[in-house]
Amino acid sequence: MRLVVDRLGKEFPKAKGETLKVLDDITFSSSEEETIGILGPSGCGKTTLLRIIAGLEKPSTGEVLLDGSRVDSPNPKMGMIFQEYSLLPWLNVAENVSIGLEIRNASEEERREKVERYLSLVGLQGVAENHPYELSGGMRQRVAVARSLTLEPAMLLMDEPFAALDPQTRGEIQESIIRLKEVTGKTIILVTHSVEEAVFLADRLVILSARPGRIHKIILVDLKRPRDRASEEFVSLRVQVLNLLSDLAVASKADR
Amino acid sequence: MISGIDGTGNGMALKVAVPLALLVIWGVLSNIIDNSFILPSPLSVIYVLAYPWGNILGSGTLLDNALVSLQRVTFGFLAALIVAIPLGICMGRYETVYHLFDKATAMLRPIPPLAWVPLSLAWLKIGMGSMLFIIAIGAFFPILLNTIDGIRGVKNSWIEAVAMLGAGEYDLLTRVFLPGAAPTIWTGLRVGFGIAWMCVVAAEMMPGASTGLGYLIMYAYGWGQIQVVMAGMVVIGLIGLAIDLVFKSVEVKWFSWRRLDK
Ligand SMILES: Nc1ncnc2c1ncn2[C@@H]1O[C@H](COP(=O)(O)OP(=O)(O)OP(=O)(O)O)[C@@H](O)[C@H]1O
Ligand SMILES: [Mg+2]
Repeated sequence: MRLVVDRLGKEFPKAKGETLKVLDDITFSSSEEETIGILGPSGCGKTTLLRIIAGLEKPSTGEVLLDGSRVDSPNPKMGMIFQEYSLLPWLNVAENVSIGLEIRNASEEERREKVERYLSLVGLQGVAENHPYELSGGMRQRVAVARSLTLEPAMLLMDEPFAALDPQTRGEIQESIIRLKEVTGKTIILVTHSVEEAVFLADRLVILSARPGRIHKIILVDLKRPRDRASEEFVSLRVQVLNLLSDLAVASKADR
Repeated sequence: MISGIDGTGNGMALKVAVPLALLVIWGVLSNIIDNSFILPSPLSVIYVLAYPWGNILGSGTLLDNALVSLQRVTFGFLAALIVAIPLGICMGRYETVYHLFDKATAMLRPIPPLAWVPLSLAWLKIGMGSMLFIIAIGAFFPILLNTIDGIRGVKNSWIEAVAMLGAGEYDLLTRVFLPGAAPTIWTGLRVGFGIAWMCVVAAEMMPGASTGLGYLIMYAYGWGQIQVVMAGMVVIGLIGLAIDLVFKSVEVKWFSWRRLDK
């Protein structure tokens, strides 16, 4: 699925009729099966950008096109994994995962089969009957990933989905994302604070400047898979991006 | 455990200590006063309670009157719920609807149900209709306010996550808003039923009533049968307690996720 973000801008109303400009003139596009990592200083509008792509928020200017048609409301062709915990606490894991299928009136057989398939794809077994509050943070995020996969969206949007996890769990989930990509070939747009995560997972990095977020640079991650985090190319790219980001953060502080 | 109330062992003794002490004090006082028109003995009240199927002064049995009151409270409560829950959902979900009704409900809410008695008699005449009206008024506001609160307390992340899965407004209502608000709405129903139960007794003291626990205790008072008055009050208290326990146990059984999920 091909995503085009075209001259996107967003302003939020502030008190006294003023507005807060959050995004300005954002243009980029993804090719099929590409993973794009979005990085930028805190508050530069990454979440806002992702929410506009998802159709949860309207842009002030510009538009988002999905295979040529304009996105202006949530579209089940895109799956979203939120940063905060978004499972429904009154449902058990299996019910949470199958809720999209239920909305779509899928047969019970299909539901059971897909719940099983996607829970095992994200590496979760034997917790179908548990409630979310019985799971660890990492397991909950996996359930959320499985939930978004059941409708077989062509594109996945992820907003710092693994920020709250310990490095070990985070590494495991990153591996399962890579497996998922190999199996399903989805386009992935990943917002993250972790440069390492972005360099590990993405094919291209979109670097945003401090608020109002503009595209500062787009970097091609030309590293062969499977990627080795300790390899020289990996480390040098990581350091290059880190330096870029800290320059942006310094520049934005100097502005204020 | 920090608090001493743990419900085990001496916790039980703790719970019955005060009721028992009150019973003893009552017994002693009634002995000293020695006037059953002012304070009948606990035994004479227990005697009335022991025969709930016995006809009292030709006004029916304790049991029959309790059933009549229960029936009334149920109908009045249902009438309140049928209006309050849908209205509360709309007010909680849609800003415009909230502003449309907010001032009117805020103004009507402080009026005690009993202040509606004259109007309800004028509009609905003596009988079932006016009683149900008073009961429904009593139950209405706690249900309405808790429904609004419950709907507003539904997390945005739940709504958006399910919206991303292709849910329309109706799916959101049945799969997110109602279940997410259910614990709070349930609290409203519990409080509302408690108030409705108080109102039914008051409504049965209105002119023209001829059945129900409220009627029974007023009638017994007229005949100077204070032990019947007190027995009726005990029954009112016990039924209220039992219903509250039912509401609470459902809360524990169905809505434990809210306590556990944090
Ligand atoms: N609904 C809203 N109304 C008003 N202002 C908003 C709204 N949503 C976001 N903002 C503002 O827009 C700016 C960008 O927010 P956003 O959450 O997109 O940043 P971010 O890049 O995701 O930050 P972080 O890295 O900390 O998650 C912030 O200053 C925020 O206060
Ligand atoms: Mg963010």
